Amino acid sequence: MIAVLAAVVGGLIAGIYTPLLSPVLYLLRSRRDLFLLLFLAYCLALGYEFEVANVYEADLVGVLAIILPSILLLDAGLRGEEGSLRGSATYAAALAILIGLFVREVFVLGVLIALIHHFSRDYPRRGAAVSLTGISLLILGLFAGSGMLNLPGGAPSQVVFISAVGILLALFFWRNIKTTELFS
Amino acid sequence: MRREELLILLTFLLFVQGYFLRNVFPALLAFTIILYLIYLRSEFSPEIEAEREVDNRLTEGERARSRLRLRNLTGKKLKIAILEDFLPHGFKAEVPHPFMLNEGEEREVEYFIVPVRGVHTIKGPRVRVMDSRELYYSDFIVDSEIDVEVYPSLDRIREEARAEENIKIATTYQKALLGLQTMEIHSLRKFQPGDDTKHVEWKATARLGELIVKDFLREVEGDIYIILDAGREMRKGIRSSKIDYATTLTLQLAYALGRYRVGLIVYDDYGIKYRVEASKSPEQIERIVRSLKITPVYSDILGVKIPEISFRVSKEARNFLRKVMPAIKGRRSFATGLMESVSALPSSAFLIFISDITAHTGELIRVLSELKNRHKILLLTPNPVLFYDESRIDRETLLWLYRRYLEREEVVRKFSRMVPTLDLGPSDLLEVIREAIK
Repeated sequence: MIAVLAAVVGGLIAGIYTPLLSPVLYLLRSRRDLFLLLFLAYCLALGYEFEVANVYEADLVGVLAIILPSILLLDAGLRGEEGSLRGSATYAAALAILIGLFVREVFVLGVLIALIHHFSRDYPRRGAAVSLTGISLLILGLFAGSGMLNLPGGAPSQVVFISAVGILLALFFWRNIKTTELFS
Repeated sequence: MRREELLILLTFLLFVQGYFLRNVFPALLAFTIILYLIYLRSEFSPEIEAEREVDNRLTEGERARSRLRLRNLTGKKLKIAILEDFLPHGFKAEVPHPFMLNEGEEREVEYFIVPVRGVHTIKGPRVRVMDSRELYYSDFIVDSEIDVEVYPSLDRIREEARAEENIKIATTYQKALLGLQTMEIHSLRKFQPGDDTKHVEWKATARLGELIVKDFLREVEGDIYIILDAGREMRKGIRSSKIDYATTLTLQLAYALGRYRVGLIVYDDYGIKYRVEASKSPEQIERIVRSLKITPVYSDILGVKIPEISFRVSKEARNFLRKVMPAIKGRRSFATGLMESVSALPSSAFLIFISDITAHTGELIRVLSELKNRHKILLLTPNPVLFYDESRIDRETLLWLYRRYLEREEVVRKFSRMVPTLDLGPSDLLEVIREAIK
């Protein structure tokens, strides 16, 4: 439920309407495959609605207010009925998210608490390290390549750079695992 | 398409969208989704411990309990699905729905398997372990091989026998099957087709103006032996094997003839497999059931055409092979299984042979012609043509089967001249035989 709250409040902070559809997605969490299909449409709609012309001049809080709740929503949807969480950390995160309506930075803090609490159930080890490494590499790469990428109308180059980092990371850390069929 | 592939497609679409719309946000969102997938892949390393227990003695068609002890050796929740794809042919499993196994949890799962008769080895099962998001899975095959003996279901046979005419069936059987008659005249009755003309009572016939025959008292105390062929030819089958049918028939006969001293001899190509001495005791059926653990040989091949290759084997070589081959295959003497089984019979008994007459025709004719003077004999023979799977028959096979059917008719006629012979299909059980004999 925290995922929906975060998505809706994040949408209000960023000034877009697509996150208002998140409750519909959340309700479909018991039907994983349908949820995934709708999530695909949801993300594409977010991409159309929210614009970032230059990553170096972007509203970081706005970007995080959309991206982090989306991941939270995706994970809650994939976990199905297991997705909802209760406890003091969840209530604290919910409170912070609501305060975020007035103080935007507190929203990011609230979503981060929710995210950490949500993924702590996996007792993550290698995965958490890999994710943090990936984020750090992207930030470092963006800073290192700012001379080439931070140009007026440089959005396509930035997209190519981000996708290249993403694909390289995937190739590097991809493991051979059997995956489940859609609508199996 | 796979669930993860849908998310990969999403990231690709977001990258394309960002590039063409000159918008960095979709690329950032796609990058986060990639990180999420890498996170999930890195965290998925399931490890479980599993052990299965099944009783060694099962009853055909009855649900048998299978206990599977599972232990999650990881610190993460895992979703478990049990797949029984290593069960022997004909077995069915009622597996539980997928369930969650918490971190470090040990759980015993109970479910049922429905066995078919015979001696089998139960392997597996396969345990599919999924992550809690059901994106990835890994299969574990439980390292267990349990030998089980599956006996025919006595209760089911009883029910089937009762369903027809309850207890009356045994009496009818006595009339229909047991010709162990004495010389004492029981009554006079009208002549019926099939009556021996020697038994016509001429005085009564002359007086009443119609053919009257003497009805003799029938001897009810006599050993009845069911002689069941469990050779390879009987065990072969595509949809169902003849031996499945023959064992059911044996049990029905044994049950219906429960008032008499019934014995059983099971023989195969190499000798006597089981012998149950004739007895009237209440445990006799149980003993017979225990002797019927015969495994069918199933095949998916309907008919294989072998190229005609001819080669000559000298007479000496043929004689040598005839002597050596049975010994190699485990036969204890030169006598065949059938010979061994009939040599163990008492001097006079009612014999019910259940055998495929096309397998060892010459030998069976020799044995029956020798026995028919001393014993009352009934030959029940499952017709292999009727045991083919009709869904797999094409025109060519049908013609071949028809030719075989005609050839077989001739053989059946030859046997019928010697002893009463009934050619049976998979649906002809006790009631049909009784009707046919009547």
